Amino acid sequence: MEIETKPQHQDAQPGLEHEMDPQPIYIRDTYQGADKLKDKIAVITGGDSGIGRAVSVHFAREGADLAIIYHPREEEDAQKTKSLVEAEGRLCLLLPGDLKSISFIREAVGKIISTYHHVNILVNNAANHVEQKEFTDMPDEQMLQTFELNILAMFRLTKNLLPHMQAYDCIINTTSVVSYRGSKALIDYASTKGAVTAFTRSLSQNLVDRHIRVNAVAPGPIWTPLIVATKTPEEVEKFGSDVPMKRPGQPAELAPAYVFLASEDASYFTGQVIHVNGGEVVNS
Amino acid sequence: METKIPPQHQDLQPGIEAELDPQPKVIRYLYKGANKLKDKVALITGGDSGIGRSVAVHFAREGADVAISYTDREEVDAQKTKELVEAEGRRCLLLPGDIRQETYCKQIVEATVNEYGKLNIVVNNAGLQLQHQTLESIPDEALLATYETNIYSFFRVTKAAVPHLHEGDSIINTTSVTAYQGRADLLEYSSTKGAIMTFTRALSSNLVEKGIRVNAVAPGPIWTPLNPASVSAKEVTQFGQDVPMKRPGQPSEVAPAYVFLASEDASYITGQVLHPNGGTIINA
Repeated sequence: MEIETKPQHQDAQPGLEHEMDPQPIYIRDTYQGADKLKDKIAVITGGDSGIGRAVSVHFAREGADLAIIYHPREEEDAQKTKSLVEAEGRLCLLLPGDLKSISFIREAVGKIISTYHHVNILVNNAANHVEQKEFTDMPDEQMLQTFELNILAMFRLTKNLLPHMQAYDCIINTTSVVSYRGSKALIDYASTKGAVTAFTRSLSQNLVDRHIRVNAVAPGPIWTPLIVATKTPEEVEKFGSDVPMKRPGQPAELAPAYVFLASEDASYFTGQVIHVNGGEVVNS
Repeated sequence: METKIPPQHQDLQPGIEAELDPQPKVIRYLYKGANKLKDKVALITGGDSGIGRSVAVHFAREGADVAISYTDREEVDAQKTKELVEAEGRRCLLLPGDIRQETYCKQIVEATVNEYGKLNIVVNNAGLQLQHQTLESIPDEALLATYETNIYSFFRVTKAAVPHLHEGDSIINTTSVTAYQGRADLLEYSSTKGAIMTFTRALSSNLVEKGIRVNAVAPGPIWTPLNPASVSAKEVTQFGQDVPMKRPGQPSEVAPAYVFLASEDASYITGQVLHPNGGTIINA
């Protein structure tokens, strides 16, 4: 999937997909569903845009109903995702709010359960990053917010949803290639992704006797609003050119890995990470 | 997928699937194809039985024609695989011979291209596993046989195949969890699997400019003829009990990973390894 990323920058976070140029590809026209997630209920954080939107649309095409959690400023992206899911003939419950707030998480879980009664698949995907060239410039507030959103919210949401999950259900976390190789200007973000990788492995062992599988996906450079809201226009233009495939990936190239892990196709996988990164070798 | 395995041993290598009790599961009854490999041509070494047979049948259900290599003594298993592939409405070219011979490695590629006019997917899967309790007890002949089968054939088959492959085509190698963990009684086998892991990474970067993806699958304990043919009857009854899921996997739980890697679903994945191993954490 060739792509020309034009120089651009968005000043506010989280970034907005509808302002991106070119628009990310969230599913291949030729992607054919095979009922891999027929009548499953999936919760996807950050499901309005980027990788989360692509996962939502793929899950819907495979037969799942969805609940997506997103930041209130992403309402327009969330509405678009909802219409894409509905076009696949499935339901999409919208849950705007701040995942850094425990009371919002409890409220969201309450709405999910009152709507769908149970959950089969949890995709912990919401995350943010803010670049700091100088480590010493990083405000303590930024560090706290990055950890609260990227990993503490993952603990809290998972903890609150687990009582509503059963044997053969599963959890998929979005980690990152930077979990393995670090990132000099995203130190807090990279550290949270290391936490996500180890959380995935530990939780897989904790839940294996309950037959709940826990896996992760580690994306490399993917064309999403997170990028244009973080990087300079010059960086955006060169985005992804440093991986072996010499191009960024599209969300449409990520989401099938989530379908694979969520479905019975991966019944003997737990505690594992799939690396969708354009060919960068990581030790795993 | 629970599996109770009675004590059993096969004296001759390679093992025969027809003699296994219980019979391994080749494909889930509910596995629905989605044209993921529509009209592709795949060559699968060791495609008569075990993981190879399961890959052949899944590929066929996804729309591919297959060619399988195997040794003369596995004819009964190969005929069964051919029947299963034909029942999916696809073709299966049988290529019996000795994968330890360089000329045969070239011949199976040429025969596949002659039969089908092209080649899109190479699955290097044939493997020999011999158990020795001490390093001193490994005959040089066993060392050579294992290296010739498990890694030299991967070089030779791939070398013959690459001139026929194009952008979008892919290579998938079968490595093993033992590549990461090592195994005291499988010195030759586990070290060839380490070689395969690194061959996969090195070849992925070598072929990335051609748009050919190279990945691997690292199975844990999977119920195949390899096991009763290489370990004692008593060990066979304990097979797979030591992984977090406390059970062996079925070939039907491994083959979907090959479909995923072979298809456009994995277009941004190269140089990577998938781990269907029942939850063992690997962290090389």
